[in-house]
Amino acid sequence: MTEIRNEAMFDAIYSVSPLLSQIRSRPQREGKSSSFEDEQGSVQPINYKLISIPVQLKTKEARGLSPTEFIELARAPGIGMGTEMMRRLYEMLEETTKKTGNVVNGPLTCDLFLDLLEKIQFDFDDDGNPIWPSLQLNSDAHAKFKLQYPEWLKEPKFQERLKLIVDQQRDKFYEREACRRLVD
Amino acid sequence: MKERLVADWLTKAGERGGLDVAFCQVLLAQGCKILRAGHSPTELGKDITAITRNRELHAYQIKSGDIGLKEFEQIQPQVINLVEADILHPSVRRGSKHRPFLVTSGNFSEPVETTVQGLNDSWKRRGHQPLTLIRGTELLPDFMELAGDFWPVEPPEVRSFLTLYLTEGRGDLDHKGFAAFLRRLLPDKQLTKPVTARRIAAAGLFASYLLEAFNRQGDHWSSFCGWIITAAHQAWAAEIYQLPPKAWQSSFLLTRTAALSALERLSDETLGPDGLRPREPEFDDYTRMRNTIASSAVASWHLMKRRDGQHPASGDIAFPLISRLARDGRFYFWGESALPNFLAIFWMLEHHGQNWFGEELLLQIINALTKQNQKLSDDPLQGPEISPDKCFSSILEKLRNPKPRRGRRAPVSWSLESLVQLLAIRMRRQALKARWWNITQVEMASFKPTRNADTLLWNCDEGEEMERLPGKPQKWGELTAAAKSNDISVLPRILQDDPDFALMFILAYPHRASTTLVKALDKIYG
Repeated sequence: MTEIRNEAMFDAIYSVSPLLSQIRSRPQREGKSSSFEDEQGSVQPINYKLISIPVQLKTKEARGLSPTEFIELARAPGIGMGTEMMRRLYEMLEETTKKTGNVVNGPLTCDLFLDLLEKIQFDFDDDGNPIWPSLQLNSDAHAKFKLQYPEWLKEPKFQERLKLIVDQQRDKFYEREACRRLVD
Repeated sequence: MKERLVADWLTKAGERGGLDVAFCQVLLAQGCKILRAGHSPTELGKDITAITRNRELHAYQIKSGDIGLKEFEQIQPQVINLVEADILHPSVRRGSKHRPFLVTSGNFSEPVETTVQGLNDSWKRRGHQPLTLIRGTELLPDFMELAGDFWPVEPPEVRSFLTLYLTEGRGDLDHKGFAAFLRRLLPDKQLTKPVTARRIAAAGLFASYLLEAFNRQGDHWSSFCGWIITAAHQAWAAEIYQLPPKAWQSSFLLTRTAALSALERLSDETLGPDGLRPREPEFDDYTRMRNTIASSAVASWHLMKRRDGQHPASGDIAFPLISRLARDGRFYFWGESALPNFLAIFWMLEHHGQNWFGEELLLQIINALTKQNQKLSDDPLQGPEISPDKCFSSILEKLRNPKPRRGRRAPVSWSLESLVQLLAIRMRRQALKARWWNITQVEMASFKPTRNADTLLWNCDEGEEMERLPGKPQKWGELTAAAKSNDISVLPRILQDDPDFALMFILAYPHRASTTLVKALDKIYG
């Protein structure tokens, strides 16, 4: 039963957002503190924060839970945990983007979208094709974006600037990759 | 429970790596100084020689099980040597008289006692000291007294202890559970120095009980790992409590000797006829994994002997075997816990002038790590804390049931930095240059305990895990400078002072194979 409960709980965590299953993670093996080196070469400490999700269960005399109730009960803390993880992720993203100046404001227009692509860093595959970054939008904005984006693509001006940005980003990418060398 | 367990252990204890080690701990507790403990063709019937508190010389022959007339006749030449031959030891004057003892975990039959009485009369007439017989039942109170009040008493602790004791003894040593038992015996607070010293001795005795099953089944590797974990915990307690050497070193040395003996037995078995032939149908990768472990035992044992200025005859077959296995691809890098095994093999190849070939072996590991542990990999090699058996089970499980994992893993490598630096020391610039693009795709992880001595613990509560990136670009001069410098002051004292122990330590503790320790060993064995 513990295994089933844990399975349901972890499934629920990842059901909160597809983004969660894209984030790479590993458990800390030993000790209580850790740090990592960012792409700029600075060592950043990791500040762990405890997440607690309180769950209430009212049991009845001589009566257990049905399988559906059991699974649902296991999912509740998972969903709570996933939601809290996402909240903190956005908090962290906001902090980081503020720090690096990668912030664009206003409703998502084609210019704002291109400004955004200009500011962030993305990589390219072996054939030089961009590996597009994920765009996080709420459901309304997502629906709107799905309608707007094909229209933007039809605009020659949009295409021209997009191509320019991709070319610039590709150059930056090759410059970065060229640094992966052992030199004199 | 305690008495019954010790009595049960006595019925099973073997004379090598079991009763002999425990008996030495008892002698130490009685204030004796052990001059020599071990089994060798030059022992002249004496497994243990010791000087008692009253400056008497004692010599012991250790046997296991009941000894009837038939068994006694078989060992009679050894017994005669035990009584009649002088003790040969640098600190013993030639011709010094010694008291001989024949010790067994079982009983002596009446005819044996009568025979010994007759022999004793004859020996006395010829000026020798009479032989004293010591039975298992006489040893029991001594063992009980030594472990004294250190036995686990709380039910969960008793259960863990019994689980460890009742193991089958075939590859099922629970390293973590075994170390947890030792940590309970040796807590890091509130002990006085005399109690710590007694507990250090008791740790050796308890290890004799818990590792007996592995000795009995011939699982020398588990036995070796168990003894090293015990010795590391003994040295840790000594460093934390700042004990003077005389309070702990004898116990530690006994444990260390037991580990070395287990390694020697594995080396001998590997070099024997059909030493690496599978006994039952098994996957080839499993066989290659065993080849790697067994060969690393052979390599490290011979490296230690060589450092000691000895050239055992087995060296003539050891190197050709390892070289052949390496050339035929009969080794297997199952995960990062294989690094110390490969390093021992690498150093052995270097010692025999096969530097280039050894370095190619390291480059192959770098290739595997940069392929499987690069930051976008979804199938990285397991970390150094995962035992070979668990790595193999997980590989099989993936083949049997390729269930997609929830979330994505963030692979790192705990070995890459050491490997890169070893090759930089050897000026393999072109080889590293060709791989640098791949190397920069891997995050290099390491762990630094808050207290240096805690490196000796299996699991460390306080410390920092660090992930660092390879240089982009990396200057060759800076890389070689970093590779050639090494601050060994961050290592526990025992690893700085005792290179042979340090070599055995990384084999048993692959998750402690830090770049500092690897480079310190490379300076001695490389």
